[in-house]
Amino acid sequence: MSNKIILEIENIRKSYLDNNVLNDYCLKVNEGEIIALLGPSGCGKTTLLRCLCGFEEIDSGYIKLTGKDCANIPPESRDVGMVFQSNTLFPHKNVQGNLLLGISKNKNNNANERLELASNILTEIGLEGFEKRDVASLSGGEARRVELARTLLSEPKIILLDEPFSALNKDLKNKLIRDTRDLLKIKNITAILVTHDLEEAELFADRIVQMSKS
Amino acid sequence: MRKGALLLHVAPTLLFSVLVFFPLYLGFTRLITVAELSPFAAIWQIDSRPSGTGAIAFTFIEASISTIITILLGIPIAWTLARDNWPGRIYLRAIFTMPFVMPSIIAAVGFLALIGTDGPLYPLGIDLRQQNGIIGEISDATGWENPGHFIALIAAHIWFNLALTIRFLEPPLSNLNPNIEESIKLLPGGNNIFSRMKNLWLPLLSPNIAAASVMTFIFSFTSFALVRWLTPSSYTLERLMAEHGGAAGIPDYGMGDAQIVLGSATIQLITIMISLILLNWLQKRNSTAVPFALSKGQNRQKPFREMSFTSILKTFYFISILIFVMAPLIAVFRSSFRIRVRTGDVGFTQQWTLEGWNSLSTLSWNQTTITEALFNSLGYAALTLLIAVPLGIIFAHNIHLSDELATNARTRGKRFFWKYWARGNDLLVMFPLAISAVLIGLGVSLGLLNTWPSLSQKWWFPAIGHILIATPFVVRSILPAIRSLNPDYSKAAALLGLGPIERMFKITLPLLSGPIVVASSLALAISLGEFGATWVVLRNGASSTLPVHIDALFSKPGFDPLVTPTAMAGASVLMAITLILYVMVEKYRPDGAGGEF
Amino acid sequence: MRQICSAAFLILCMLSTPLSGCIEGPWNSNLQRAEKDNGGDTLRILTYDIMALSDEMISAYTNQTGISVEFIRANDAGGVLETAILNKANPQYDLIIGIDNSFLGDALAFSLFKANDVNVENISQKALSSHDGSYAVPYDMGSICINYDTSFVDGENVTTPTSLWDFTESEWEGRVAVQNPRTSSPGRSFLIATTQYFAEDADESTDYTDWWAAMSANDVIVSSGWTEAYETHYSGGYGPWMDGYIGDAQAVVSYCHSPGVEAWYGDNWTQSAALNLSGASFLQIEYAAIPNGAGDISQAKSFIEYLISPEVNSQMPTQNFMYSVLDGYSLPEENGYRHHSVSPIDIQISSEDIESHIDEWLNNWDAAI
Repeated sequence: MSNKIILEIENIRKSYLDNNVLNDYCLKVNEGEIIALLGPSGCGKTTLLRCLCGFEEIDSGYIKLTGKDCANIPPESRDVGMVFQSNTLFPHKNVQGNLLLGISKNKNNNANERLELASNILTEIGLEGFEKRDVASLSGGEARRVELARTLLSEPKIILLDEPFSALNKDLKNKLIRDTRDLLKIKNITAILVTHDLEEAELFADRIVQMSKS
Repeated sequence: MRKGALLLHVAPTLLFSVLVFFPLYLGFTRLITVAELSPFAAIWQIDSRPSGTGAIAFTFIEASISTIITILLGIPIAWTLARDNWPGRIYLRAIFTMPFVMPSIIAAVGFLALIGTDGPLYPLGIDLRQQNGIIGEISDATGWENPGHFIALIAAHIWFNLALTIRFLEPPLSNLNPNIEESIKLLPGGNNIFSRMKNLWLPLLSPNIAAASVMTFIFSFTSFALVRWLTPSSYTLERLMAEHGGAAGIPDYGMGDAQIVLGSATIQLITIMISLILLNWLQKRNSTAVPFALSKGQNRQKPFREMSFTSILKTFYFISILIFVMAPLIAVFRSSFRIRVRTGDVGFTQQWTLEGWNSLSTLSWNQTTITEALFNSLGYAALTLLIAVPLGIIFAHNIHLSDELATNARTRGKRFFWKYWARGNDLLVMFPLAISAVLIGLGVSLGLLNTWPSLSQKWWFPAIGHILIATPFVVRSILPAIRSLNPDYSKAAALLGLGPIERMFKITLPLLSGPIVVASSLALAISLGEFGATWVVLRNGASSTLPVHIDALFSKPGFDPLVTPTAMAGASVLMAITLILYVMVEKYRPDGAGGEF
Repeated sequence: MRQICSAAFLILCMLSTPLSGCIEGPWNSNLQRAEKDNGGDTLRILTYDIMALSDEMISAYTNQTGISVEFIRANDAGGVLETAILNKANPQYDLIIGIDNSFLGDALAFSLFKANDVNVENISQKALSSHDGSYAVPYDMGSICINYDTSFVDGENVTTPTSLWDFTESEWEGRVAVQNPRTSSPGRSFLIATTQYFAEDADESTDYTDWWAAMSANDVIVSSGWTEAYETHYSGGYGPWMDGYIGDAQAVVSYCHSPGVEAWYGDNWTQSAALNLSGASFLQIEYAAIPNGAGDISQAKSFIEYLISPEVNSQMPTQNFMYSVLDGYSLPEENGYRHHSVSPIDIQISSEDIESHIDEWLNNWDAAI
């Protein structure tokens, strides 16, 4: 973990009609740092993530990722990865097909190399040989792992996790949190976890940021 | 919003508005010019013409009676299908709702064959054509001429529209959280069947009953092929418009025709408008949020008990309806094997034959064989598929997106704009369904063809009407699916680096493949079976479609006994193709998409 | 739904303002005539649906001349006229077939046809009686009169009518089917026949309007087309074996040779007969004509000549159920075709007279019915 700031959020505001969700919110995240945004529902955690991804335009303030202002960059070009609260594995593709969607083609890789990348990451997340599995056949924990792997393959500068563990039972949850954290640390990837569960946040993050209703 | 996205938003709306309103505008202008009357003055001309006498009254009466009986017969079917765990109830529902996609000309010739002298009713002593037996007694007692025709027409309308009642009523009945019903049984306000009816079922179902009634009324009101064949001496406004539409656009020649058409079109537009206002009012008055069961396991169909009195009653009812639904189709197929043969000293008899089928591709009255007409039809259907399905998908996408933009809007102005943009588009695509097929055809023929006659030589020209009529069905099939699609799929794909176009083709469209198959099959079926618009447009020369050709064959002098079996064989082919398409629709129909056709 | 309503209302309001004159007669529009791509090998014919030239006749023509034939169809004779009027400025066809003498006056008044110099000397005087062939060449014909069911007219309870007035008697109440002259050409022909019949009968004080009013009072059945009247209502023909049969009429307006056609298909048996009543029938003559805007007319002319050649025209009775227009060809005797057909004395009227009076007759008919 270096001291280089990778994400800089400065005085952003976001409001819907009569509802000010984010009010002059600021946050700085260092490269390789894993932080947890902790707060009750309705405090604007999810809105913040949506703004970071580019699904929402902010009313004022700015978001800089590796020093660049994100204002006019569409989501697909922002180099942000996200694991959603709901399962977003595409049901019309198998595990391998889902992973391949995460690998960009324009680099110097051919089809075989891309398949290898997909297989390697499956080994890393402990799902070796799952390539041809139908996504509907995966357990809750397995699906989360595949989603994380798919996000990692897209090589984002920062990964956002929107309560990805909330639907799992406790034993599975703690193991998955530890595995995820280890993997992110090995790859030195910056991550922001959004959660309302203090225990989860403590287990996962280097730093906990408390959010409250504005 | 980026420029490309903006274009995608505005272009279809503009294109569709032009396709719908421009021909109608030209057509009405032309009619007013030729008729030399205002639309409201033209209404008073209808009754003074021999063919128009009584048409207005007939249209309202037959549509009202059709609606009432259809709803009354349909409610028990929907109720039982939804609440009892019948063996094969999914198949039963599929069969009961199948007539809705059948071409109206099939229904017409099917019911003709049923009530004809070679049909199954005649030996039973029920002759709906002539004034004999029971029908004669009714006629003598009431002084009502040919009551049998009217009965046949109402039966055909019921046959056609029963599907609407079932499709509209079954989902709320089967998806209602059973706890609601259980809890009302324990309360004083729901301790008997009547109070439950008053306090639970009526408020719950009345918006859907209203919707089904209004749709049935509109479809019966605008009936053409069935009226043309089953009640030859009576006219609906739709039939008047179609049969007088040819000369109506010619100045110094078609003034009387133009007055009839103009008056009929005016009444029809007003009536449909009032029906829709009524529907809106009823739905708003009764729109209570219905607490539906969330998970599938939560609703409980009662197991089918074999020997109880009610189950025997229900079985009997279901079998009757099953026979009623299947009979016209079987009659069409059977008639294709029957030919009139000279026998004995006097008269003819009906015998079995294969000649009708043999002459399908060889016998060409007026140089078109049925096979040629079939290929024309398939061409129009392909064109409709290629245009209406993408157009409908884009419309559904736009409507959904506008709804989302309205929800997430930052200012009241934007929210207002997107909300009404969504509703405006929704209403625009539904408009061709609300006005009638013949009116669309008249717009095309009186508006476009009379202005640019050479258009009639373009082979694709009749497809315009097909596209307009098919698009609402595509939107109705796709929109619920788009709405129920997890929005995170598209977001996740974006974050994986997929651009908007890649997302569309790699993620959204494949995820919608089921509904798209449904929409495509529906579009094909509607184009293949389309009658009113094509009949009007093809008056002025072009390639005939199969339904219009079947109609033309039945209109031919039938001196040659081969005419009827050949026409029936052609009708059987059309019926078979439609059935195949319907199986596709049912197979890929997403669960719970009941209310939308 | 509310939006649907408000939009529908808006449109209605828009449309209900009289818009006459907003659009300047587009029927005069001088659209650039589309380049004809037929090179000269295709003959395009505008015709109606029951034009029954057999495939063999068409392919024989193509073999003889090397010209292929393409058909553009309208619903009926009226439809042919409507299409021809609409496409007057820019006809997309080289020949129009199927306009009959009840519509010919209208067609000539709209100047739809070009003069031709087809040799008509083989054509009978009868076929040229309505028009001399200079603009439109007759190719088939047949008289329109009343047909009746012989099992009903048994000579005892009901006797064969000797005047059209007999049909206004109570024994014929609700038993006569006619076609609406506005939508059917046999109906129109019969209306024309009645206008002359009652002008020439002995009774000076009554005319056709009185007869039609009396028929209306006697519950005459008015259908929109020939098929409905003959197949659905008439009990004397093949109708009883058709699905849509009602059978409430024992007399119907049809061709005087319809019983002959019945016999032709019925193995020399029919219970239908045509009423041989002098001056109560109208000779319908169908024409082939070249549209006024046509360029090279040689192909169209060759087709007309083919159509009136003896080898083709003599086939009309069996191919098209109409009389040949040539001298010396009658109906075939086989199966009683000729025996069951009658040839009454038709009314004599020119197509010009029809054109100048038809609106008045139609309006009077509307009023009487």
